[in-house]
Amino acid sequence: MSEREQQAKQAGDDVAVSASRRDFLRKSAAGVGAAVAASATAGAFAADQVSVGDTSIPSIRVPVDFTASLDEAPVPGKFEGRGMSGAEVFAQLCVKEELAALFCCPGNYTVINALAAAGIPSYGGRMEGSMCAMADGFSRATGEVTAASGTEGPGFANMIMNIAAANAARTPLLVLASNMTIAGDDREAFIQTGYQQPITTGLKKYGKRLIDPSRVHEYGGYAFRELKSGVPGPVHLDFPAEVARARFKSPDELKDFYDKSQYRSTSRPNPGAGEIAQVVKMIDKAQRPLIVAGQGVFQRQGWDALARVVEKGDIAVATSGPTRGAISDDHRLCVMAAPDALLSADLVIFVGQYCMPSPGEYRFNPDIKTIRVHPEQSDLGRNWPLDLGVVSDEALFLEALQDAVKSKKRPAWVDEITAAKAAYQKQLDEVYQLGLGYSKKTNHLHPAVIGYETQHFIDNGTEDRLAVVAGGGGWTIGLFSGRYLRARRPGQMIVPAYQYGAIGPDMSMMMGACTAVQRGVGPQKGYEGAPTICVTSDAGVAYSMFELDTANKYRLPTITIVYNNNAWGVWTNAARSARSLQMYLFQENLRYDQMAQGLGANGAYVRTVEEFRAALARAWKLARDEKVSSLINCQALKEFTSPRDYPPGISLNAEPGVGAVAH
Amino acid sequence: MGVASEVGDLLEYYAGRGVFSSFSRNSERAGSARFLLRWHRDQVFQWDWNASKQTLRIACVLPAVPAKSSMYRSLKSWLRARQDDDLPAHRRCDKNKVAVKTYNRGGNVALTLHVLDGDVDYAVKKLVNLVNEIYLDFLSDGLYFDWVVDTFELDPDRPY
Repeated sequence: MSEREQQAKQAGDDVAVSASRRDFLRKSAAGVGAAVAASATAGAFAADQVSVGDTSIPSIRVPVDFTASLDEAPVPGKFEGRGMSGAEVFAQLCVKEELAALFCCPGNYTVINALAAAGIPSYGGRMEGSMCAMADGFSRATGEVTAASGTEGPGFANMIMNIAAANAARTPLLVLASNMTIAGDDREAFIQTGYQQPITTGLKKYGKRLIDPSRVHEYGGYAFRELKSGVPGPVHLDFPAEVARARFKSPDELKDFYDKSQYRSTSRPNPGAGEIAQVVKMIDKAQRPLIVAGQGVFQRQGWDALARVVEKGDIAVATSGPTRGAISDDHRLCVMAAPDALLSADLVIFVGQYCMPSPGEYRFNPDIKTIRVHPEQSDLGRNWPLDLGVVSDEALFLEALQDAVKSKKRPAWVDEITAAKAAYQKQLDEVYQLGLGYSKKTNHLHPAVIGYETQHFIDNGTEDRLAVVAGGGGWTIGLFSGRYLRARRPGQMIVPAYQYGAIGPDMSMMMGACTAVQRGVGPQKGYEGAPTICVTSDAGVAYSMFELDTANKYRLPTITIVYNNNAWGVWTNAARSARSLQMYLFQENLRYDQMAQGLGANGAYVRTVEEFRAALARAWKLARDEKVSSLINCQALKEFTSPRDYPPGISLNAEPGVGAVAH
Repeated sequence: MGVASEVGDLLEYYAGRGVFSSFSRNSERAGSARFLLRWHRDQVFQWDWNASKQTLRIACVLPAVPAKSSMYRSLKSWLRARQDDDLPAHRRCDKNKVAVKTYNRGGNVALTLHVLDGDVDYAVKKLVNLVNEIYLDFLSDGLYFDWVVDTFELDPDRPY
């Protein structure tokens, strides 16, 4: 082994026993499950050589150059000498703004290299769309600003679906793309030229093609003002070469080259005293008040004040948005798993509900009174008629309310919530038992079994159920598993399909969330090293699964559970239409597990509940101990979707509530 | 103000709160009245107040439900449960105040509330809530997902 290889190996070993990992392992305890006993031991997953027929070939491995590159110290640009490039000026601004991570594929070289060199945690993957979803997932798990980047035309265009998903979820996502040269505009010079900003119209909060190199810092300021104020959303900057490669030898050559404290403010709107008094009066008058804590409560980290408000007044609480867990689903006042109680509420207070439903889309009664608290006045009254609108930052509102709201016991309301929870749990248990029966009868896994068993494993098969961030998507499996998965602390559950309903980004998004967990960013602090779990569909996994290479490369311990029903889940829409069903079907019994193995991950193929439990336990152990990702291919039947074949079939989940995806 | 106008005003109140997407008073005579309102799944619901019978009637609260279907049996059972004494008052249709009846004509399910004590305000509110729960609760069962999509000609990706 060469000296360089030895250094690289040492660097890799250092990653393996990083402080984050030790922190997680310190909390680890024995008892992951008997099934693990039969599985591979720690350190035994990857062999040096594998045999193909009579030939022995090297096994999949992370290149030493990769590890060595990761281990290099930052080298930020400077005005002295050659001067700073436009990309380096922008990169330094991103460092000062604490840009949490960059996810990209090569392209936009000047900018991504400058960001990495400046010290921004940077991750390279296989497809720009997936990397964009990873950036979104990281942000959903933390509330932090993240960036995604792709090359000029194709890479940027590949990101579009996931920029749209981020926009629907109001993710503070910085979309970066190079854009050839201004000099080449309208000449179709060489390849990849295109006008980007019109393409993201309707998919962003703010966008700008940078034209004047001297304004690169000024527009960086524009970007972060938008990303860190009011209701967040994607910001799209495209960098022509004239801007990214321009050289600056003095700050004097840059417009508005001043500190973030001068180009943006952290001031937030407080609620008026009179408005708080009105809110308190309406809560006091209500018999069955309910707070819907939207994404704004997560973004503004208002969860502690939220808990104090609801506990002081015996106010029911639901959460909504692309991230779940601002209050535990297990909290006595939480109605996420109590859909029948929603219909009884007589007052709803929407706090930071960025994506407003219309009446009839939430499971409320027609007599319910409404207060809405939002940081921007212009959104109050949109979609949903108000009894009171309050312009306020979400955290500041809840902090004001926790002092002002009267202490009050509402025993009848609490009893009703408790009864509704019990009734819903009974219903879930009955469907699980039905699913178990179907699974045994058909020797294929029913989606209710996958959902129930996954949460059961998180609760009973892991060292700390609070450490496991979960999420997922898909049509049939998304609807089923959403009911069974629980969020018990802020940022514990990601809802990839939130509002946009994209099939496909789930797996990548959860890898982004996993990245945040490994680093303990924001609400993930204290859970460093914990594996994450994604439950998704065979339709969805096709969009993301090549990123298993990325996950393994960066030692992201992800577990992906694939519901493989050989079809797009919406196949029932073609069941009675001539010549149509063929468009909805895949080959049967595809081996996503073998594909995962080919990408360096652990793959498991399961058809029974016993096999599934064992595969989960093994995947957990590999993820926890060796940072190896796993894909569990759960063979199912497409007919499980249909109520005619296997009642109750699919149904939409109550909103707001567990499994909600629309608002 | 007559009772028919009172019924209309109550329904208009809900329309003013965005519960219905449109509302009109169609005709009013001899103490009876007809109202049209657009609501769940973009359906137009015809409400009739009959003063002599003291009834509020929705001619078609659900279409395409055959009288001998299990769905119709389930709906009737679900409606009976709405009158259960174990339900809290704010969710219950009080049997001492209103009688709930369904009729099925060619698959169209009519829903009638017979006002027993003259409290029309109570009856209107209960019928509004009852219809709301039929759409948000009864139809949320997976058994009816395909029925909802087919009957209301919805995009299955947006079955509201």
